[in-house]
Amino acid sequence: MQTTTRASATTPSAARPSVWTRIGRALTTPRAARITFPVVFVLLWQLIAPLIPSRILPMPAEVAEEMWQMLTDGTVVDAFSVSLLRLLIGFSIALVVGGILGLAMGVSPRINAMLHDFVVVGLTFPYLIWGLLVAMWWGFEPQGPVIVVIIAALPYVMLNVSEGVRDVSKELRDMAAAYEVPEARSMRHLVLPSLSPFFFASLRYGLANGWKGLVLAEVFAAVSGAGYVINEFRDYGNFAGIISMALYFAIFSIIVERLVFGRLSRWVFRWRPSIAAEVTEIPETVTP
Amino acid sequence: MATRTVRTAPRKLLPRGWLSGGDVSPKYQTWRLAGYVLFIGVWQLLSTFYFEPFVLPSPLEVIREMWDIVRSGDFWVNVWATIKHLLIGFSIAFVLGTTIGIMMGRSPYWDGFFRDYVMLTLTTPGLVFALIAVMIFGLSTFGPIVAIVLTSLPHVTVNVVEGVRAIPRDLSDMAQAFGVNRRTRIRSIILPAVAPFLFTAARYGFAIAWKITALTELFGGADGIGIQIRVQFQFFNIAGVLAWAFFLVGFSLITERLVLQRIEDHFFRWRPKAFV
Amino acid sequence: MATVNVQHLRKVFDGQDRPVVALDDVSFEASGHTFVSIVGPSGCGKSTLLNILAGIETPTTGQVEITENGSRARVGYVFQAPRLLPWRSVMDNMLFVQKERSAETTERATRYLDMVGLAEHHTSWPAQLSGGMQQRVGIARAFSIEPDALLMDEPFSHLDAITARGLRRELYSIWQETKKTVLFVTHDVGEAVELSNRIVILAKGGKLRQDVAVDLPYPRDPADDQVALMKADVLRQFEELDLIAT
Repeated sequence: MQTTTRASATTPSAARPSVWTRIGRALTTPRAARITFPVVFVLLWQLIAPLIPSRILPMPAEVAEEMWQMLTDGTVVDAFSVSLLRLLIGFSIALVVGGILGLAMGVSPRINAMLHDFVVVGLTFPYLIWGLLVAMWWGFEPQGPVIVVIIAALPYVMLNVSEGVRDVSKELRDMAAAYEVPEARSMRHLVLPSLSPFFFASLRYGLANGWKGLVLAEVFAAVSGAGYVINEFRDYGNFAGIISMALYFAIFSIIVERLVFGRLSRWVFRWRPSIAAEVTEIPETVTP
Repeated sequence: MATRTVRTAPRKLLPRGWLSGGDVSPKYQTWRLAGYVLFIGVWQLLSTFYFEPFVLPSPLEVIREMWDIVRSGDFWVNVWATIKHLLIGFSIAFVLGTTIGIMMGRSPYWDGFFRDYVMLTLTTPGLVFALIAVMIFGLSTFGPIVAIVLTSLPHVTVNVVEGVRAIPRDLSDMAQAFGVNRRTRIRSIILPAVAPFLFTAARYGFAIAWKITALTELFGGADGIGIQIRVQFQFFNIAGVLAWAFFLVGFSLITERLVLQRIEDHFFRWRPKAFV
Repeated sequence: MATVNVQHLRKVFDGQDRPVVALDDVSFEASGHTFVSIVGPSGCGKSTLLNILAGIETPTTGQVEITENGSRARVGYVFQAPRLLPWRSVMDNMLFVQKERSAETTERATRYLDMVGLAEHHTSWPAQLSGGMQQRVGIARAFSIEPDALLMDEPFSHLDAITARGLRRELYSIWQETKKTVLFVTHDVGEAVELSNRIVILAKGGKLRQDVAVDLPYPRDPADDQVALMKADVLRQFEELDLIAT
């Protein structure tokens, strides 16, 4: 009896903290922090923009206006849909070719020895150079940017697929052998699922790098697409346009990351419940 | 709960040991050589029988072009300009990235704060940063440096975050139980645990920095390799573009594989090598 | 009735600098409702022996066969680690090793899962189960193909003593019920004495050193005097054979 009275005497202040404490607590949660970042970013931008000589950096409001106009007159949708089509065509080719080559590298140490160094050089070779080369070779013909996507994505696909093939657990393969599991079933239930994280990685890095290569190629070897549009703004000295396009690039990334990779990775990794939530956003290691 | 640990992601995306032959077993060096012979052979055949020499110069012509570039006086001037941009930009990115990475690794609040920023800058094409940097700083040294900082930063951060999360709890608990003081704990447990990730951060950051430097210089630098590439492009000299490309790849691989790798191997000589 | 027949088996691996002899002229036979434990120090080729019997590895020289009434026998294998497909549910793991898929095999898989007390976990991912539960799925999997003979490679060595003890009892009762030929590799002499009616002792270098019959009534309690005496006796033989590292 005594304890209950004492407890009820102390509860009001303990259970119901003041409004300010609650707001403070809500603002310090990681969730709130994610919203705080863009707010701080825009505030800083608003403060810093007027300080830069000759008002080179446009104000947030100007950029917002420019972004709205680009959206309504169709510039953005046109630019990104053209680029997306090139990306998907190029990447599909890279996935097939890279998948076959990666498989061969994973299975045969000889083929691995032959191709390994080219994969390394491929990872290091600047996309800028590919963009310039296809521009010189084909001018503005449509295959140029697609070829850069293929070249940019290929080494990532090859590398991840070959690592994946080598990573298939020998213990599990022995288990399947001991139980005389048919080859086709073993392929479907053992080999393919164990490849899936690597396949997923090649999808993610291949697409990301294909995208980076594509945008550069569009600067030099195309008259349409996101890369072409942002470079055109540079030519005309339209700074609000450049910043607007940069923000559209960011929005494009968010959409791809959240809607495509987020869902895909949750599905691919559904068998490891604790990790599935984590891998969706920041990749563990990122290759330049 | 189950005690099995499952690898979260393929950790080693960047193959190591190039130039030292690490990833290719000594048994297959002949095949490796065969790969080079095949590549150069096909290139040579294509350039002699299929394409005009100015469309696809032969390997020899590219080498001759590289030799001419080295002999001309301004080669080292340009290379040095690029390296200067690179070192300044990368140092700033490394310090900033390590700081942000430690904050994100230790506090869920800062993790939430910087999370979207890191994700976005990782996936945004370098072209965007190059154009913004050039737009703000015009033809100057600052443009390339700022672009390097913006692009390398998230790569450093991501690796440092992973490193901070890899600090072994059991060892730091053990040290605390034995009353080991803070300084020794940092030196003997935290640093060795984080160091490999710092090296990875440096290697990735550096590799990305080489590319972005040339790119930004091309769009609006005052000097550097990027400018030379632009000149070759404007003269439609494919051999020249290829020559500079191979210089870039060469420098990038040398810094990454020879310099950083050597330092790393020396630093981690206590680690057994036979885990292949 | 299954018969395990090993004749002059020899297995040599390519070592780092010189060949390593894993098994050296090993011969033995076992058939019917027998439980044979293969005991020896680590590195004596126990697991290699099972892998060869399972067909995962091939012998360098010698013959190995497991037959059922003259034809090739079906063999179940329980590994040291559970070796479940982490991306497939418990039930799908059970079905993965079945000869064909039918209502009958599903029913059988359910029955054996029930026998190890995991029937209600058939939709779980392996990662959601404890180590002991995963190993029980491994055991149920081995029995569910209704093998003629069963190979077990230190199946309880990764588990805590209490879980292991429970699983030993389960194993014993399933063995009694199904009357299989079991080859059981272990480094734990107590476990061997508790379960088996024959103990084969392998020495380092893969030589078969002793074949001990264990004539004690089942079920055996490890705390029982006779079992303890037998264990001491086997350990003394280890001592005499100079197998205990000093």
